[in-house]
Amino acid sequence: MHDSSLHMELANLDISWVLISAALVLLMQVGFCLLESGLVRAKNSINVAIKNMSDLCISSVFYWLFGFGIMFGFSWNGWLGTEFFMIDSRDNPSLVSFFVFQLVFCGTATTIISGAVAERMRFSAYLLIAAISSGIIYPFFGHWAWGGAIPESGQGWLASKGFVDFAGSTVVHSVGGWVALAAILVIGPRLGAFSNQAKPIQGHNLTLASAGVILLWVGWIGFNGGSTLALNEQVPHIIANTVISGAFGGTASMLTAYAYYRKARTWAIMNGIIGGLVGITACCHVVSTSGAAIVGITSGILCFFGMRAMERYKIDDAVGAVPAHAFCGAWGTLCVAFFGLPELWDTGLGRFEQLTVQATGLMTCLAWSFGLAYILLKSINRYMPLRVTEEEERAGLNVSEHGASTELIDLITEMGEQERAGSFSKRVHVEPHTEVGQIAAEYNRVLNRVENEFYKRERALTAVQKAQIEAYRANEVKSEFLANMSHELRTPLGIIIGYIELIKDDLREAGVNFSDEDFDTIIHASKHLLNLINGVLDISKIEAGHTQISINYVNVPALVEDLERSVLPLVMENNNTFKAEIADDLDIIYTDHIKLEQCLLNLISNAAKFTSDGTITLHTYKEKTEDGEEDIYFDVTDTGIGMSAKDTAKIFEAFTQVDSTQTRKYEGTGLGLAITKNFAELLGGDVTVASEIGKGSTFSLYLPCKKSAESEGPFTESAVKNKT
Amino acid sequence: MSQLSIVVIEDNAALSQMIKRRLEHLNYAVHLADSGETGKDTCRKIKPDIILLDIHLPGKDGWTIATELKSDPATKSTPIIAVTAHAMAGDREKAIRSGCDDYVTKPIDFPTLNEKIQYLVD
Repeated sequence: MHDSSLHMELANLDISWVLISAALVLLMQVGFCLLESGLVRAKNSINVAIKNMSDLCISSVFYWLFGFGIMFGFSWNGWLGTEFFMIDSRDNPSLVSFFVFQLVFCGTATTIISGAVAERMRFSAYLLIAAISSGIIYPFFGHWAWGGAIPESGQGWLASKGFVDFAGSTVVHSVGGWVALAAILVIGPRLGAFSNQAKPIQGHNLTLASAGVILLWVGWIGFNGGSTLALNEQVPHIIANTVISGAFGGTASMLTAYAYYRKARTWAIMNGIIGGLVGITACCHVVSTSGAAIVGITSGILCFFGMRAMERYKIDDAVGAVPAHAFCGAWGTLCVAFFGLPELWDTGLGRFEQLTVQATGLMTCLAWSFGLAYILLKSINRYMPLRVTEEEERAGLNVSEHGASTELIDLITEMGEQERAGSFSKRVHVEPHTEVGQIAAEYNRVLNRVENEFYKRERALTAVQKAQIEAYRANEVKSEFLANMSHELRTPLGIIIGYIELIKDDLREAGVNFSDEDFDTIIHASKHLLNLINGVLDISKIEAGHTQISINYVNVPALVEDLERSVLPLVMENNNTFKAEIADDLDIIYTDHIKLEQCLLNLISNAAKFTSDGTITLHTYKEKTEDGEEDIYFDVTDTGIGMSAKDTAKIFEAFTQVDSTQTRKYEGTGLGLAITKNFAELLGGDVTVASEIGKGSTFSLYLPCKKSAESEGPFTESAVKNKT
Repeated sequence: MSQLSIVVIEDNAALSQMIKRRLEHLNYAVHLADSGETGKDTCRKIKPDIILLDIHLPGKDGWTIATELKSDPATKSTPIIAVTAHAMAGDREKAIRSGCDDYVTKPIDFPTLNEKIQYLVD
């Protein structure tokens, strides 16, 4: 079996430098972790960190199993390696050191993806991508570009063409970047990433992210510096170029951001630095310091515009990994030919030829990494969705993918649940001796108070309801009493009046001669008693607030006609005439028919009582009020004896009559006008009087013009019925 | 013209006697009943031309009796005149709703009652 490593022999110093560099590159994982975690929202921070750890594990596992072998084993026609699978760590120390160094490189390439797809990719799906990337995509391309790094192991086909990528702008960063691009195109942008609403998605801790960037910078010293695989005079040159490029990258990007936004945006500086570092990775061994500066500047600016382009085309990259690693990686690879010194890249190719080769390598990487990743992911996505559900995305991947949470998020979740359910009986968990615990404890105290207030409110409501029911019940009792009284009082009266008539009939039949006068007196007195009872009942009902009103259509001309017919006998008793005048625009009004009739009857019979040989007029008309409404007037005018001003003032009081002497000439109960005024007020109107002694009086009853037929008052039939 | 028969459902004895005598003076054949249930039985047996029903009966009130009379096939075609205590808006509506054909108020004015009866049996 072929063992290429037989020719690999590094000095101890070199081995130590390679291993130290490997440690520095591993440190970059911390950098990536902090950077990505800081740039996402808190609810996804744990998910990002776990992705970083797990992709490092998976990529390392695959790399040892077969990745390293494919990449650096004896080349089969330049396409893949065929040895060094699962190498033994006790093997050739140089080989093993090289293996460790390459292992952490693989980890770097893989972890680039996690940032771009953050906040919406299923964890299991991410592990799958990590596996594909580190198991297939990275090692194969790595072989094509770097196969042959181990002496006498053949050469990858790109390497044999003269492709130069010193530490992996293409091999590591572009591969990672293009796979990331494929992934984010398949899973789509985050919810709200490109909405028109004010706030764009913001990272929760830019301090953390910035620290991450600087750590990356530190690690890059090993990333580029160690790629010589020896501690030789190239190393200072490479490290110096690396640092310079990073610095110029950050500066250029910052200034560009300032030009565009009038502000030095943090993300611009961060990604500018990274872009510069990525760009120089391919060519740090072939450029001068000024060359490095130019590479840095151009990479930084490219990164800036790359991010803007992504935004414009609505491709959501959570951390800007694609512009920084893919675009700048490709550019850095080209820079070998643009700014490098031909004798340093050592392929024997002229500048233009080298450029062609670089371009070829670049395009191959693009096609292979992006193409393969996109096809695979798109197909897998059909059977197993790579993206979390909308709900899970909103809740945050810390919770949905790992069941992990922070104290604060827990508290907020609990509070949110209570608010949604509208139930405040449970208390939130209080973790003692923590800041969040203090908030939780205070919240619980507030809840206690809230519950108290609710309880008081419930009690008050119940009391009010009880009182209401009792009030209505009491009213029912009163109504029943009044109704019964009405009936009870009329029965004996009916008997009295009826029997008088009977006696008269019997006497007539027996042929007895008698005069009707005495009997008529009894009947007359009984009827008067009846009127008094009616009046008293009405007044007591009114004062108890028990009068029922039912408002409905009333045909005014018809009403007046009926009235005329009823009052004619009474009017003619004193030899009076009756006239009814109705305005033309009056036909239907909405009011209580029976009450209105009772009022008008009262007014007209009063007029008839106090007038002899005169005229009684009922004039009905409409008039506009101050606020644009209309009132209906019923004016009863008589040419009778009239009243003094003193009497006018008292006329509407209950139990008051104009002439209250013993030898009263004009009979009455003294209640009629009081009841009429009360009814008028109940219907929303009033009664007024104008009078002159000897000339006559005009009683004016007016009601508001109601717009529709509805029952009013709390004690109407339907209202009372509904309350029981 | 044959005599018209009338069943008077009224619980007060003195009042119903008075009504009976006055109606007989007006040439009606009068049958008395002192409660709603007795009244229904009497109506079913006698099948009068008209029923005079006091609304304010003890026990089952007059409205219910009126409704029951109107649902009983034996009595449903007989006109009912209700006797109410006061011409309140509620009473009038109730009378019509429970199936009464007309109503008079207490104390009864017999000429008016006579007119209403004559109107209903024609």
